[in-house]
Amino acid sequence: MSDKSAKGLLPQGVDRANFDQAIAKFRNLLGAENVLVEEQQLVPYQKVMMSTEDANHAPSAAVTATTVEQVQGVVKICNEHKIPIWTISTGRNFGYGSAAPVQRGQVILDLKKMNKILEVDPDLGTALVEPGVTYQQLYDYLQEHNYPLMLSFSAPSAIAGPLGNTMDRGVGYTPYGEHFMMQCGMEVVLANGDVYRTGMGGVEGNNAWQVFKWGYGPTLDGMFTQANYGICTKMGFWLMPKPPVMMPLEFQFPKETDIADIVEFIRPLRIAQIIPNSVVIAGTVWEAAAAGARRSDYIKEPGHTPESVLEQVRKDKNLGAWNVYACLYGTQEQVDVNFKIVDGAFKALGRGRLLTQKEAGNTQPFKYRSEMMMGIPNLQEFGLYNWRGGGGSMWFAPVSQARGSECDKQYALAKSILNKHGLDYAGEFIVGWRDMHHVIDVLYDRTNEEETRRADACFNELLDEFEKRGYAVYRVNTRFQDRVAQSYGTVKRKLEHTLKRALDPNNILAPGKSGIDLNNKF
Amino acid sequence: MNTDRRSLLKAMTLGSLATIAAGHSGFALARSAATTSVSTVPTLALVGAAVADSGFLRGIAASPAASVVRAKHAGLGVDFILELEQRLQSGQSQRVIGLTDDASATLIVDLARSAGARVHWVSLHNVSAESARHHLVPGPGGTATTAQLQRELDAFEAAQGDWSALLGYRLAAWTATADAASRFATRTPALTGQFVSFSIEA
Repeated sequence: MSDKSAKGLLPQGVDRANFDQAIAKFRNLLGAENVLVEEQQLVPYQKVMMSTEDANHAPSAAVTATTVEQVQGVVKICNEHKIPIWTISTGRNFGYGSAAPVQRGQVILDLKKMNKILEVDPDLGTALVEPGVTYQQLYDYLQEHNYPLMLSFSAPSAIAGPLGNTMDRGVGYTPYGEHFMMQCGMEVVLANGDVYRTGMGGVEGNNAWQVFKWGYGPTLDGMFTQANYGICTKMGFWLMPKPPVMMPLEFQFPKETDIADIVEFIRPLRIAQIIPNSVVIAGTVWEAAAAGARRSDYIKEPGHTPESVLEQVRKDKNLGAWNVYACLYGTQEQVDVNFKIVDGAFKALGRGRLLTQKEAGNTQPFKYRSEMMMGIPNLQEFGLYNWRGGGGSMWFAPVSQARGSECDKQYALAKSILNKHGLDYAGEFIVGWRDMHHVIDVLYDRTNEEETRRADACFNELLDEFEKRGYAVYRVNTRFQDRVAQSYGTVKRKLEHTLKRALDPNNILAPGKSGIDLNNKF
Repeated sequence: MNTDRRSLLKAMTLGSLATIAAGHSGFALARSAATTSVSTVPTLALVGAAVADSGFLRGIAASPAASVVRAKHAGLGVDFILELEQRLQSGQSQRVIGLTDDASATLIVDLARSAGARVHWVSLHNVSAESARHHLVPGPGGTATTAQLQRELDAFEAAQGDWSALLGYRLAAWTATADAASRFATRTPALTGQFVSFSIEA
């Protein structure tokens, strides 16, 4: 690894004098304690898990704002000095780039201190929050107020936040698991300093901002997600009424080749909303790691883990080759009826094993999977990082139709590429209404430079080979964002850059995010 | 080794690390004979389950800063993480050092970031009987103390004993002065596996 310490680091194209002037203005606007420039303050902002040097994503500074007016002030300074800023909310986008900027030298705008829960309406089941609000904070708020509502969140639930997760189009595990679908109303600071509210938010005195998404004319919410056209400072979203009964279920299947039939079993139940939540079909390594197993408990040799070892892991941890998690919600009568339908379909499949809370008790991974489906925060899934150890983690997340044949193809292809590079398939399918998010954690040891190079080559090959077959990922870490933008075609990129030129001519908002950067030739 | 220190170490290795407060009978971290001037800032040492039996805590106990260090198990429990978050954001001057697994360290270091704390040291360690790798984040550079510790770890050989004792001693004392660390590093078998160490100042 080369020497690229953060000392004296500047944003691209910005000279020292200009940068120092901007820093002085930031201090004046935000207070010196909210402008971080010392290396020891910036180290945790650049701890990445990607197959590249930490220094390639080192920030030159980090600033924290506490009000919308301060965000407007930051944007003004950035325009004056052409300072590129990388905005984070809670910054817990682990495996997708964490808190580090997409390009070396960008100034981080950290909105963690904007952490007010502005409104929760228990009757309408809506919330309006600032960027720094965490799911745990919101969970505690609902508990304290005894509101009969529940949350949907991603696996780093307790410490991540709804605004950031939704802006990155993350998913959860409840019936409200497609988070952007449940979003309703945004407030966005644009690059020119204007404060834009989507949907009904622009109508003076209107109170339907969090209940009616569309407003009038073009609906623009989506263009601010996974994008760099504005800084979201408030977000509304819908909360699910907490049902009187929740019944988590696990179906274990013994063979890897069962995947196609599993999807065919689940899809009709999912589309018909008999099973209303985002069902997970998780492989052995994922579940074993979340249950506390480490690869080194079983094998010391480098390379991918042989099938014979995985079989042993399954026996020890009481896992299937595929482990399917679903949950039924409603009154006891509703749950009973739906269970009968689900159980009937499962029995017709003629294989596998069904576990309920009664059989599984408090064992992992059933416990944490159940909690996520019931809206209870936990951090159990971080155990994935201990499977191989070494701090390397990159999510590869292609989408597909919810068809057995598609999953069969994607699984076989992913596993063969990962194993070829000496890495394990640690993956799960998340069944949306009609789609599958195939989420694979490419786990590797960053202390080993050779393995890091292999992981990098592996990720590139995954992107290339999936693209050749018509697949693309829905989200990716900052190292590969420009590469993935290429998969979606030139017309889309030209349009995105046209919008960028119109909205942010100085290219100050997160240039490089999702491959959008006015320094590109579009 | 005197009886107090032996019972302390036994308590630590048995996992009685919930809160090892200086001065509590049988749980106080032993004072070192060394007289190196070090910080007296209250310090929390976080250790993973696999580390409790290692030389890491012995290294801390042997350091001149031992009397201000309390130790605690790190984990993935929400309660532990929220308590640590509250602690880091309390405004109290303090240090948090540790040697944990990757999962816990990922959370701990990020809590330091969101608390606006200074992170003096983050390093990934992969140590087996055959080899040892210590990967400093963000790479070469940093302070004299950081650079010296990195050099010492890189130069450390298995025959010298347990690298984690050296690390514990150095993270607790946090000075660039070459002193007794290597002595304590020779007393225990080397800790093997994958870990992350850190030193945080809030």
